Amino acid sequence: MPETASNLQLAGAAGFGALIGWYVYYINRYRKGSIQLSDLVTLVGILGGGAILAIFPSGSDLFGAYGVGLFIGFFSYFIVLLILVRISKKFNVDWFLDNRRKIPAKDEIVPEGSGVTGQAMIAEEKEPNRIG
Amino acid sequence: MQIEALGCVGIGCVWGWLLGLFSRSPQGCRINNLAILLVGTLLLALQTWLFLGWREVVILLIGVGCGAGVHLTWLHILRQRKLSNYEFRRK
Repeated sequence: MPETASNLQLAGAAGFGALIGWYVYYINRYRKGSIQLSDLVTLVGILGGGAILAIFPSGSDLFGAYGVGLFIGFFSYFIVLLILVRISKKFNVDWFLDNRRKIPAKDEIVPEGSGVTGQAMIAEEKEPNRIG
Repeated sequence: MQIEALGCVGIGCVWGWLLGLFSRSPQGCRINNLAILLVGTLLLALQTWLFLGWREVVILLIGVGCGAGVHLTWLHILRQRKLSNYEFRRK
């Protein structure tokens, strides 16, 4: 492994990170139910685990480029989501809070089971272990 | 060295944003979720310390704080805005 990586190598590592970042947001948007320990172990592994460090050795520029790419991919997904919500006539920012949207027009349908995403926040009945 | 620090900030911000996302699960904010998230953060910090060092742990945690802070602030602003709209409509 050379000490300094070429620009192409850095771009490749950043691109790989961007792809993973985009996918991490996508996977978590469609996650059902509460977070489990197994989800977390997977995520920590993706973000900086052994497999990633095997590809991009720690302390190298490639690992840094991977982290920057991860950031770009992850937040690009969010920005695209914001833009789509902004330009859509059926959604507004309240969708981020409780998934609300306008009822489809008479000649539109939403196939059952499609587009079911997790909610960022929701107001429900008080439960014993609920703190907020 | 600089790009490595930037990478740590990037990973920290992504993790922080996920913390904000997870702490507000479909079932609301639960202690169980927060405990799991804390374990996750410790794991990530430990991993960073083992492979990189203390400096990177600090950079990572700053990124985590920024990511979670921005996410939760944004949600808070949205919620306040929604509540104020609701009050306005009721009147």
